[in-house]
Amino acid sequence: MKAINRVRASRSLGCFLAGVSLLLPTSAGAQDSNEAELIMSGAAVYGKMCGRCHNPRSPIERSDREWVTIIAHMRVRGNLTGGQVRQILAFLQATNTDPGQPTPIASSADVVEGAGTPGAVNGELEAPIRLDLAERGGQVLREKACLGCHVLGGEGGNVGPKLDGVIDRRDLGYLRRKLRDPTFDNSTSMMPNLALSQEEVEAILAHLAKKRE
Amino acid sequence: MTAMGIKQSARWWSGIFCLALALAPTDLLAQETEAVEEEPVGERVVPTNAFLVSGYGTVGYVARLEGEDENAFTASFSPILLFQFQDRILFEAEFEFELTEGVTETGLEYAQLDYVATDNLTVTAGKFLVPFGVFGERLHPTWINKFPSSPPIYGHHVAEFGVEPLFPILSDVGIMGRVTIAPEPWQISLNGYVTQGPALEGEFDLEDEEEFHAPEFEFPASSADNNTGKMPGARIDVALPPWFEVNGSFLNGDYDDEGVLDLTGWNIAAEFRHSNFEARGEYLQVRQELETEEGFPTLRRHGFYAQAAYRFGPWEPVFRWTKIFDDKLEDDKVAEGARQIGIGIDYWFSPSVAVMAGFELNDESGVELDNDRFVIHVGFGY
Ligand code: HEC
Ligand code: HEC
Repeated sequence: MKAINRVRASRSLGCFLAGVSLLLPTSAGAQDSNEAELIMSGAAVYGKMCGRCHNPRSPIERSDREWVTIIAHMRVRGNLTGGQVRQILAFLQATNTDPGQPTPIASSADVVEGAGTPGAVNGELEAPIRLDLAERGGQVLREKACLGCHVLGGEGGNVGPKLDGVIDRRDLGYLRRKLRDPTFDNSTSMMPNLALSQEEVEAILAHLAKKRE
Repeated sequence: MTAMGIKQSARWWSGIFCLALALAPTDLLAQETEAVEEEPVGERVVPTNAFLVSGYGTVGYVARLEGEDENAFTASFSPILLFQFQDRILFEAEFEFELTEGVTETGLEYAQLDYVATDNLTVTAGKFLVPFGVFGERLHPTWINKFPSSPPIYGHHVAEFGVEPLFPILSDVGIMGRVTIAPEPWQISLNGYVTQGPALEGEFDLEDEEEFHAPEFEFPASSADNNTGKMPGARIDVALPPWFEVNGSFLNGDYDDEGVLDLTGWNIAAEFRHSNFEARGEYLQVRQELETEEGFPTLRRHGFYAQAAYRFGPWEPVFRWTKIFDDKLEDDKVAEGARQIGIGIDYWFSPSVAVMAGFELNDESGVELDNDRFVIHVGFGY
């Protein structure tokens, strides 16, 4: 096994060096898109595999390191393949926001009641969409692997409902809450809490609104 | 004696066959549809060794609803320790502390070493949850099982004055190989193992018993095996995740001290899930040889449970129906069965914390008194 690892390591080192010496920006771009694809496919595999025996657990429950060990545990218990393990880990580690540190679970109180929390009062749940953030929103939908589970514009996975038209189906207040805390209306949702910042939420809404036009 | 010798070696061979099945096809079948390179892309964290504590527990209450006035507070705590060494070796152990009739029972639920040999094969040794059926291996933790007690075909959690289990299997000591392939959109696994096997629980002499019942057996999983016979077994899982899965399991061993009385179990399990609805069930059959003056007749015992649950927001009503059939050896020798109807409701605070409450309507054949119970607990996993 080690030999294979070594072969693979030297192969990818070779590729890496070739990439660097030829076209540095392109190869860095390719790396990013591979990574993004891996994370996205990870979201889909998570959606398929992680709610079969028990309710799905949110990526932000655990740190990067902890997920490595837990997924090793689940690999044995749940008969996952090595490929699936790498995909799921990429997704969990990319979306738990804080590598190395366990993140406290955002409480629904922050978003739902939120009386004392600045920026979360009911009026703002209905605030108008800031279309200038639309481009950033497209980026967030990828970074947070939303498209691993949701279709938007014919692209994406089918773990969750289509995001096309969701902006018309649901009111803004609902969407703002749902994105901040997916369990607020469904305590065992397959949609993980991705600890989105308020800005990210606004950017996603802007992107969804722009797509509609 | 020679007959026994043949039986022993046949069992060894079938054990080796099961393991070989589990070990052999990895390279042939290692055609992942999505070829993902072994090196992590980007800066992924892969520690060389790591230690982690997880686990689960409950705090609850159980009361008998008819007849004798019995009730009890219940509590259990099952810490899991995970030690990972590089990315191929995982040591996992689970302890169990449970209050039963005033005493705290402690147990080592499992203590196993997993070696990730290839992308498709893991080898496990030690004391592990036996992949016979799915409840014991996958569903028994109290935050996973949607009903506050275990289905009576297996027994385990909250057994106080409930129905006698048909097949009390959870974990055993031995070695296991697990192979998985995932040709899109399927997920197919074969789990093969050889363990110490079952043992007779207490003394049993058919001729001395006043009323007929099947000799009880257990999986003592001690390092001293009660007989020389080992127990091979296997389970095959075919799934179309997340919607559908079927599993077929088989095992065979000796349960008496002399190693003559044969025990064979097989199980078929299935599950189905669509959005907020989940249904699952398991059927199992045990063929158990008995010793009588005429020879070694086989008693066939069987039963099933079927469960359905539907989630509305945080609420999840659960219905579970269990039946253990009456099984007849001869006209005057009937092992009594039982029936349980379970109606429960869960309230989920988070994916792994819930209050679960349920009524069990228990009826045992040949028993006058109903044994109905009310069980409630807070189940949490961390
Ligand atoms: C085949 C069933 C099964 C599948 C599939 C499965 N789990 Fe688990 N999971 C379990 C069981 C059983 C436990 C309880 C651990 C125990 O009793 O050993 C558990 C425990 C956990 C825990 C608690 C920490 C721990 O390691 O005990 C987390 C977190 C978790 N699972 C996450 C996941 C994720 C993420 C996935 C998707 C890759 C997943 N599980 C897939 C059965 C499964
Ligand atoms: C692991 C899969 C997964 C990921 C990743 C995921 N979701 Fe979801 N999402 C779901 C599922 C499943 C549902 C439906 C269940 C529910 O409502 O909780 C859902 C529901 C939703 C809804 C409500 C849709 C409706 O019609 O009611 C919205 C909006 C949404 N997701 C947006 C997002 C966004 C934006 C992201 C990225 C930040 C994201 N999701 C990431 C699985 C996922």
